[in-house]
Amino acid sequence: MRALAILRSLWLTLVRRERLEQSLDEELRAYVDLLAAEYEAAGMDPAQARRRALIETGGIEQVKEATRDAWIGHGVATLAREIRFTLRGLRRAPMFCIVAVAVLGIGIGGAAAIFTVIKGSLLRPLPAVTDPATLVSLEPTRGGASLYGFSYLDYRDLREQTTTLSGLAGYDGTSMTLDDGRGPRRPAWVSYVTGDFFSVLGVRPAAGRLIQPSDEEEANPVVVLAYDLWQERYGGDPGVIGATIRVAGQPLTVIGVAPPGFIGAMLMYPMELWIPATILPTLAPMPGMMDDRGAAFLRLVGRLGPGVSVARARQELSLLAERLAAEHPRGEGYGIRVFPGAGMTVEERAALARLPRLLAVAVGILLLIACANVANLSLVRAEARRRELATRLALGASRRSLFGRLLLEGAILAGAGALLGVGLARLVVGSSSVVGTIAGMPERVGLDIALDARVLLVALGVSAFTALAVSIAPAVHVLRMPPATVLRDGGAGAVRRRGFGQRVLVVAQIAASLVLLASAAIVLNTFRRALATDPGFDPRGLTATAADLAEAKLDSAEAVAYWRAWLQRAAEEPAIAGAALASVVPPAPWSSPRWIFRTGEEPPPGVRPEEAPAGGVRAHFAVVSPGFFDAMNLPIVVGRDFREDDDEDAAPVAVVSRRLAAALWPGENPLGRLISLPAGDGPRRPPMLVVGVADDVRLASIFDDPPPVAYVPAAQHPGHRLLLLVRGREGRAVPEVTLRAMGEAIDARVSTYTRTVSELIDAQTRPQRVASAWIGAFGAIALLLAAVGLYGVVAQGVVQRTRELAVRSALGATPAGLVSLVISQGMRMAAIGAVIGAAAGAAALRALQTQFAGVSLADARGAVIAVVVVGVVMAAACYVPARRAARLSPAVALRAD
Amino acid sequence: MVDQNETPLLPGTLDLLILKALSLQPLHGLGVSRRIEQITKGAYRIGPGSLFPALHRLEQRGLLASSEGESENKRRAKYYRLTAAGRRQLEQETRTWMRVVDVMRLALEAT
Repeated sequence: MRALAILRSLWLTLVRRERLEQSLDEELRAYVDLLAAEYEAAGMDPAQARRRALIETGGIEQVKEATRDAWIGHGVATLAREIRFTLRGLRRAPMFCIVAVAVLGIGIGGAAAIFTVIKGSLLRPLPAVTDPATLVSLEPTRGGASLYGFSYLDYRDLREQTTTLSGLAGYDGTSMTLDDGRGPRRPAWVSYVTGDFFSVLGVRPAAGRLIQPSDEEEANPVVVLAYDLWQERYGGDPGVIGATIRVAGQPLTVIGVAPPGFIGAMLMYPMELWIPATILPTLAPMPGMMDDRGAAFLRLVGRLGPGVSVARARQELSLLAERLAAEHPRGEGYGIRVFPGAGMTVEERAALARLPRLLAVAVGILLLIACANVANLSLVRAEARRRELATRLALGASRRSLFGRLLLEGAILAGAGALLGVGLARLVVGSSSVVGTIAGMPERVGLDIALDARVLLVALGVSAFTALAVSIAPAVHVLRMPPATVLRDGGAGAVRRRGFGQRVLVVAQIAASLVLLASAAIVLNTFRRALATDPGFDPRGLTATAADLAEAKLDSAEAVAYWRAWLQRAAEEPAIAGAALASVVPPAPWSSPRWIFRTGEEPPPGVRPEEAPAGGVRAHFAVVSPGFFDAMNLPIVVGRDFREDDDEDAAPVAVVSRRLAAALWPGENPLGRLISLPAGDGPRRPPMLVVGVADDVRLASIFDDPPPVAYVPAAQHPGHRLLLLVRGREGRAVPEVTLRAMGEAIDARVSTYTRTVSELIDAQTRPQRVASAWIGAFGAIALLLAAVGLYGVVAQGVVQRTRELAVRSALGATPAGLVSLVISQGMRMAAIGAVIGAAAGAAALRALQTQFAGVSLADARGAVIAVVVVGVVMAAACYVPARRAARLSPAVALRAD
Repeated sequence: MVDQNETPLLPGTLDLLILKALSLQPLHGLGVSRRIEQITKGAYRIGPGSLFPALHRLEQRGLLASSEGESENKRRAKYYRLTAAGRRQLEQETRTWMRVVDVMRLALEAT
């Protein structure tokens, strides 16, 4: 009842305001009439009675105002009026508004989108696990650097000894062949886990049961399916539980299905199957791996006990690490790192953070430029409004209300900018492909990132603060002055040296824009150049085929026969122009260099290569078959290729790359020289005769300079994992199906997987291509912002000089003279800005050089473009308003102010 | 304006006085003022600057209702009357006020 009354009143105040006002007016008139009637009744004559009543009632307007204040919702109505008033004021300065809102919107939107994606990807918890906040990851370290993992025995010790963790589970994953009779065999991501893996993560099955401790203890041959795999391959059929599927050739019983969205404990590698870790020895040829403290193949994830902090767990685990190292010696400096969260190793996190971090810096600068732009614009506007504010003050407006109005103006601009920003951010975040490329995450992780409210709030707050602070700062300045001073000053200050501060701001803005634009351009060019570089071979038509020989249980003699059969068939196949075997096919980022020595200078057994007195060269080591250089189209510069008779019975030979030759024998002929590998702990190895020099190739990374490489014949170096390299005819890759059929004809037990080399290169260059696209986009936005902002500030400044220009014109200056005066002054500011920008840019470049190899001033083309754009914008911003001002009749201009 | 030469008007008492003034019959603004003067033996004279904001506030809160009426000398005017909620409020506030007065008297007269 009362709530209803209040609503009714609110409605009256806000909507039926006129009726309310009218009724109040009538009520007060009735009051006066009734009072007058009282006096009349007491014997006064009517006119006197009326006057007496009016006097006694006092100021009708004051009474009305006091009564209005009592109305519910009156404050809202007043605010609405104020907003309408402010909007009217802003409409009179459309350029200022459009620029300010656009600039803030782009800044806020970009920043919010990027930070949201960063947060959503880098700080993403594991999907579908219970309470990810109390999960911790454990990583073994030596001297602070991460080691790969824990051995099974270490894990069991830790699990028994820990008191701070309520659970500790081990896991890791690898690719194994899935063969279930439903469609072709294919590689699948298989995670081997300890028995408490699912209970530590708090995961419940979607069907059947999950792996439990008894499966670990008894090494049960069981497997759990990922929900996606279950749906895709088995149509969600619950009957698959109990069925047998083959994983890595081994029959396993399906016991259950993980819940939807669950991908295991490795964000970068979404898993499809889970098996007990203790059955690994039956799947992989690593006998004794469960009992070997050197076989570190488990990552660990723990659940903090109730109320236990990460710091306490860290403390305990470092003690346990000491105990482990004492009981089972393992070298100096062993430790265990404990960090909150699960899903990524420290290294993965760092790698993943690189691109977003770069973007975050770019976005931060962008937001900064945006805010600086708005600040400048507001300052210019405030300067123009000094007279308006002073006039209002002089006419009796309270300082508080003026201040409030300025605040409101800033808030409206910031609000509109924020609205635009949210729209833009939603657009970016809504596009899954954009999000995926920034985050660099596998698709199955399900990166449906919602726009993060807190991120948005921060971006908004920063911008709003800037907008508000700057719209108020000059107001404070004006409001403190006696209005008369401002008014007099404004009237007489036509040719006054005005706005020194403003000019400083313009110069600063030019400089800042130039730094950002030039940096963006330089990084972009660096990436472009890296992408355009010649890898040293022609990837078109090349494919690399891997064969899983271990799974098919081929021994080394059978493996040699298998590959020999391959080469034979490839030679007969008309679609194949060339084929060879190689332990590395570029790009091979996993290839790690080894020490190569001039024979006679290699360290004796027991001495580490880096301590060899004469010094060696770190070179990549490629085991290849004859025909490799032909298939790669890699020219032999001097000497010869490997031959079929370079086999185990012949003298060991090698082909070195140009760089290796230059490193080992600078300026001398390398043919006929001997090279050696360090013996390490084994027997001394026979030296190899250098029979040829091959051209350089970017073997490991497309971006780095070609490394030194030593090539050796496969027949003399058995036991290496080999890939089949095939070049199709006329630059066309041989299709995978053809190669698979060929492989099955040779040995049906062996699974083969083929990728084109172009795909491999694409995969390697993808982050850079994405980054360069982003940096390009940011550069473009920054250029736009800088241009728009600069134009706004300079043009407004010129408009303010209309009076001064009129005076000059009245004193005899020609319009052309006026325009050239304004432009030359503008250009002077641009020149100063450019000089400062160049100095700051050089500093920025040095910072960039630490981040990106190959950045150099040679890429200054972008900087030149930036300077030209800034110059043109400056000229336009000066010319357009100056010409208008110059054309104005001096009389009109002088009167107008 | 409140004539404060003798008894100050404590905060919150004006609303209570208005409710009390209207407890017998509907009154227009001036009538409320006169009625308060009468029941306080002339101690409080409420001027329009305090009266109308208070009346409007009480009406908007649903404690008073208003309707058009005609005065004794045929002038049409806005008449206020207590709503059910207003009457409840008056009773409740009266009880509270009495308790406060008793307690204060006891406290202040204690030796």
